[in-house]
Formats: sequence, structure tokens, C-alpha cells
Amino acid sequence: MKRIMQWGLSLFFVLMSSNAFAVTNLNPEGKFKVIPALLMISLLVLFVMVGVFSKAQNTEDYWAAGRGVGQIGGGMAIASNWMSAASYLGMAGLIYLKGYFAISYVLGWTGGYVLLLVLMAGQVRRYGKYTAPDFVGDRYYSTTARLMSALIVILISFVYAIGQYKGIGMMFNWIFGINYQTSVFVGTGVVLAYVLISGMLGATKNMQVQYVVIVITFFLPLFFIASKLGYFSAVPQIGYGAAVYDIGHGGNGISAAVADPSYYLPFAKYTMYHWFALCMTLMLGTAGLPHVIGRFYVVPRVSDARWQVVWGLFCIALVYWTAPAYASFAKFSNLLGTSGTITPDAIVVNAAELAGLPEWLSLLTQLSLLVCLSGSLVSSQLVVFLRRSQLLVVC
Amino acid sequence: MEKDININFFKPVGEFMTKDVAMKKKLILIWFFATYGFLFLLKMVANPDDVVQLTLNTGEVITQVSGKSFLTETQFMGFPFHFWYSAQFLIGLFIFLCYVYCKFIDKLEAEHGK
Repeated sequence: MKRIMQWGLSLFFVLMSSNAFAVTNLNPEGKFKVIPALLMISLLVLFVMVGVFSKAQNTEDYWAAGRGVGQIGGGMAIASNWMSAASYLGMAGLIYLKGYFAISYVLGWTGGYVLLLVLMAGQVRRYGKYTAPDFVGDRYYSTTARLMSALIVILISFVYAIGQYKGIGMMFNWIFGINYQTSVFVGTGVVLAYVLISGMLGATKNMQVQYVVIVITFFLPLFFIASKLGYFSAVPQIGYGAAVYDIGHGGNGISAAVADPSYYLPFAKYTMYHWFALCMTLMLGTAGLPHVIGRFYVVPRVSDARWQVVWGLFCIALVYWTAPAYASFAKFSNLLGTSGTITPDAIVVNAAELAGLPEWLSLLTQLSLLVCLSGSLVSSQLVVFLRRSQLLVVC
Repeated sequence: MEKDININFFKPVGEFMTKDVAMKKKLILIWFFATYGFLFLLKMVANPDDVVQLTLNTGEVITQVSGKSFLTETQFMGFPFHFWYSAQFLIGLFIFLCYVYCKFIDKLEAEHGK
């Protein structure tokens, strides 16, 4: 079993660093960016310090982080646990490329929480099983079913991890100017070390600090971008609406000839069935999330867990209300003809640059990306670990 | 051996479960129609003269309405209305649905001493 795991992992890294996954070099001059590097290191140190000072005394503290955290704190932890490179880079990139169609990602990843809370949570808690394979195995009285579901979960975790490692590779490429292949390995090393250190310390407190950093660094550049492009910048989440309208109809410097109505028209790039299928899949997938459902077993009062999910959804929504704004402003600058590199994968990072703003602003978004990635890796490692022990028990 | 108890979502037993299931059904209905009903509505009211050509993954080329209608051309807070509805309002609605369910089930549990 152990050997299979080792082979799988080696194969994974060979694949990840192969040219098949190679992405646009974000830093072709190979320049070492001193300030981003320093910021990144100090941020990692900050998280480890938070971990040290809020060290969990026992298992219950580790999950519930004592009694003082409350529902909002728990919600923030859920949110930072949930948001990964996909929410952060992927969503804005997809909206930039596919326009209204990609809004189904925003809805899929939030609407699923309604299903989770209403249909899943109570049942799973009543059944008293900690993991999905356990539940399937007991529900259908079958060890084979349990093994199959464990294998499927491992497969899914691998696919999930690919996106995260790609994000890490891109970020280290951007900061240190080393090529993408090397970045994947170096980045993985740094993140693993961080996960090992912080994972042993208090998880919940760390997640809360991560969430606050993510939101601040995600929101700040947007105010500057909105005001630079001449939109309502006090609340850029609302201000970008006019940009969406201008992208489709022309206005604010965009002539009607270059306007791109396919950005906002609902069925300009895909059919209604595509939209429906994608959104439904994402919602059902969200409803089955192990690390959110996991909260329902560990919290002594189920009511607290439910309220944590509501606050968690709210905290996630803050970021998801914002992501389309990045996509729209980037699309707008693109139509305006502003020069600058466009990598749809890194649209959140490029957006400030595209709008003609200084580099330190894109640095902010880089930072929250780092936080996002390390946060989601902590949770995905945890999930992989749980599944692995599951499988070993079965075998 | 323990006796198996048959619990079926569609055949609720007792007052607690009956009320709980009724509420759940309501919320799921709202959730479904707000998300997907709106999508179907967009398709239904779309201007039939405004068409686009699409190439599917299979290579097949289809012609369909682009979805242009009063829903997409009306501006609301600057947004095309459907964009605002999907990207902002629906997320808020999801939070509200979760909030309503939590309030409801807390009250129900208190009444039944759970």
C-alpha cells in the first residue's frame, strides 16, 4: 500500500512539472522580486506565530478553537478552508474568458451550501459517521462499496491538488523568476513545510487570520482599479456593473465597434443545457464537501455548526461578489486596448497591471493568493490524510 | 441485534419531522426556481431574431438565441439586470435561505426539547 502511494506521488510530481502542465511564464526576465519575497516570508512567519500563540490544548480546542470563537469565527474558518486557487484565480479567469456562462461557477459554489445545510447536515450527523466512505460502507452493508468510495475520494483529492500546485508554481515563478517546473518543486517544499508546522498548531485561529488577510488584500486593489477606470469606486462590487454594461454596449472610452456583447449575453458562448449541467454539478459537489460536513460531528451543539455554515457562506460570498469585478475590469481594460500581459489564469494578478496601476498593487493580490493556497492545502492534505487512513483500515 | 428503523424523507413520521420536511421542501423549491427557473425564463423571453452560431465540442454547429431580452437590456444599479440577479442577488438569497432554515430549526428543536 505504501509503495503504491509513493509511486502515485512520484508520478504526480513528474506529471505536474512536465510540459503538459506548463503555463505562460509570468516572469520572463527571471527577475527576483525582493519586496514580494520578503512579504511572503513575513506572512508565513506571522501565521506560524499565530499558531504558536494559540496552540490547541486538546482535540476539541483544535477544531472548535475553544468557546470564544463563536459563530462568526467558525464561519471565517470555513470560508478560508473552502477558498482555494479555484475560487481565487480560476473563477475570475473563467468569467473573463466566458462571461455570463462562468457565473454558474459563482452560483454553484454558493448554492450548494443551501443543499448541504438543508438536506445533508442533519442526516449525516444522525448517522454518526465521520467520512463519506464510512457512510457509504455502513449504509449499503458493503466493504467493496466502502473501498470504492475511498478510492474515488483519493482520486478526487489528487485532481483537486493539481490545481493548487499549478497555482503555487505560477506564484513562485512570478516572485522568484525561476522557471515553472522548478517552481512547482520549490513551492511544494515551502508549502509542505508550512503545512507541517502550522497544521500541528491551532488550525481554526490560523484560518481566521488567513481569511482576514485574504479579504483585505483581495478588496484593496479593486478600489484603485475602479477609480482609475472611472467607475463607482466606493463599492467596486457594485461599480463594476456599469463596466459590464459598457463591455457589451460600448461607452466610457470603448467604441460600439469593439464592444463584446458575448460577455454579458447569457447564451452567446454556450447553451442553456451547458449552464444548467455545470451549475447543478457544482452545487451537488459542494453539498458533499467533507471538510464542511466534518464540522457537524465535532461541534458539541449542532445548532452552532449550522450557524457557522451560514456565516461561512456569508464570508465566502464577500469574495465571490468581488471576483466577477476583477474579471470585468480586466475585460474592460483589454477592450480599451491597455497594454499588458493577459494570462487568464492570473487575471486577478494582471487586473491592476492592465488598468495601468503600479506593481505593488498586484503584489497584494499575489499575497492573498499565497494565503489561499496554503489554506486550501492544509485542508486538502488533511482530507488526503483522512482518506488514506481510511483506505488502510479497509485494506 | 438492533431493530432497523425505516426513515423516509418522503414519508415523514411525527410532528417534528413533518414540519421539518415541509420547510425543507419549501426552501429547496425556492432554491431551484430562483436559480434554474430564472435560467429557463431567460431562454423563454429571449428575442428570437437575435441569434448566434456556436460550435459544440462534438464539432456540431448550432444556431441559437443569444438570450438578448428586456432582462438583459434593462440596467439595474449599472448592471445588465440578469447579470446583477445572478452574480449578486442569488448569492444573497442563498444566504437568506440558510438563515431562515437555521432560525426555523432552532425554534422547532426548542419546542420539541431537542
